[in-house]
Amino acid sequence: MVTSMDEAVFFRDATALASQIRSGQLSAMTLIPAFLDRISSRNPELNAYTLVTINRALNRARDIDRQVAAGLDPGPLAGVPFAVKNLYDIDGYTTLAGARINADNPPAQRDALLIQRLEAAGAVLLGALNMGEYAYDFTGENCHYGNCHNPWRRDHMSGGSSSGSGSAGAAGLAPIALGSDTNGSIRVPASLCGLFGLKPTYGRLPRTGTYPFCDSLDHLGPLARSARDLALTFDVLQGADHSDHACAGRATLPTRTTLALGAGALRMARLGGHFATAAWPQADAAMDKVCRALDIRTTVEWPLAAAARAAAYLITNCEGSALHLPRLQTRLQDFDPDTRDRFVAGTALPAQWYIRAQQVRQHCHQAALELFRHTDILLAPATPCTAPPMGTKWLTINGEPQLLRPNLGLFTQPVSAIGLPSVVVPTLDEDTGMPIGVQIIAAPWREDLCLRIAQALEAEGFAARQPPAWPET
Amino acid sequence: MIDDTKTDDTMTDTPKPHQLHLVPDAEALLQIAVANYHLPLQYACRATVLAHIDTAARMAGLLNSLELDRDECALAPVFRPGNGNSNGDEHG
Repeated sequence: MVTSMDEAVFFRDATALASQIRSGQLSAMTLIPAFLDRISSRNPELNAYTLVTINRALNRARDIDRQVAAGLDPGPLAGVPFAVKNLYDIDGYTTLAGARINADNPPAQRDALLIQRLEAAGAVLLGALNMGEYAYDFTGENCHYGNCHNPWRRDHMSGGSSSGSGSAGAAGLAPIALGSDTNGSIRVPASLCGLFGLKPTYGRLPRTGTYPFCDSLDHLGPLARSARDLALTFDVLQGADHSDHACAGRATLPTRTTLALGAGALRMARLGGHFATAAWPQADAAMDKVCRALDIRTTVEWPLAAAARAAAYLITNCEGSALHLPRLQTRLQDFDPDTRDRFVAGTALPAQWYIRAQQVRQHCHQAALELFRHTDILLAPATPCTAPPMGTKWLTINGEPQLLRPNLGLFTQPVSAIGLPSVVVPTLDEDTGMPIGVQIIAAPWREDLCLRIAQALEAEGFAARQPPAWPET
Repeated sequence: MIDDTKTDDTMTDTPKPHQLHLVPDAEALLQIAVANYHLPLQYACRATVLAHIDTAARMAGLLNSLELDRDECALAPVFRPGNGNSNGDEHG
């Protein structure tokens, strides 16, 4: 059992923890076992972790303490615990990607590149996190490894597909979690669990050593408890890698050093049209609050947003189905039924639809670049609503019932379709007491601008909060 | 049969190329996929799969209805993000 003073440590951000460890105020061998104990006691009710790498974490913590004792600098993330969605390779363990089928695969031979980069900066891997099967999910439900629960209300969805990344971050089980985002899989759980989340520009971070879903849309990125943690983590994760053909050879963009610039003279606007929130009172209230805080009075339309979403829908379905065709042929009944039916549908789509989708995507991208000639930052909701109860299948949109699964990504999907960077900032819905996020979107390669606005909003009180206390079990 | 001699767009009863096949026969598409790929799909799952194909068809219909104002490449372009206003300048 932890005391209330101990409890605060788990909700401290990574920047603060690293500072304490580097200065010797806190040892990694105090912090890491505390997190491991907390995972042991809390995870059974959340199902956020699917693997806890205890020995590896303890060995690493000892090494960090030795470096500090020797007067060496273990790095900007010294002793900071982190965990990764279980589609990241972890040396010696099978990469599940949320699928029962993958449990039969041999263990990974090395860590994913982004794990290597975090550890080189001093961070300590705690384990692997739950996710929707093969990342085709916005809910956090998984029939193989169990549903991932939302720490704010455990009978509500965590969001997906980086469900464990959202749940673990919000519950104080890891201050930094890595996820992946094809259509919103970082941003949806960040929104529903009340965290900051960064989906960088497509091609910014190398995906080397991760299990793919949809090659032309897959992004990797972090979820964290503060804007400065996102910036710190992002700065450490950057760097080209030729093993990922989509990874652009761009120079790294330092973002931590520019955070304090705030909104400055940046031109900001609220997105209307497809992103209008009149039908979504919770998203509407969140957007109003954020726009008031930033004094945003302009609304602009991105006319091709619905087309971008449609393109992403088709590209995801076709590429995902092509990737999994051998498994659909031989192990169809081992899929989660919710993903199986979508993958099977993808095998039936004509090639012309896919090609048209890629053409329209390119066209939408050009239209969005035109928008950024006159604007630096666009704001949009991250999700239409706060976390729905687990098992919800339908949403009502303008009086019409619509399937929940695809529509949780209504506002994220057009953004990732054209690869724009987006940071989710948490807000709290006063009516439900549940979090809901807002997206800060910038032109390609301008993650620094998104993070500056996120930092400015955090200073205005838009922060990752501690979920209501649970009774001890 | 389509009469390809009719090219006058003012003839509203003549479908433009992008308006053809907007409502596919989802059942036929699924039958072809199941046969081509030897998918062991159980009958009970077909209704949901058909609903997903229908959703995709509506998405494709939306995309086909767009009049792109640029001469798009006939092949699927490889997506690469452009530069946007990435020169580091602030405006305003």
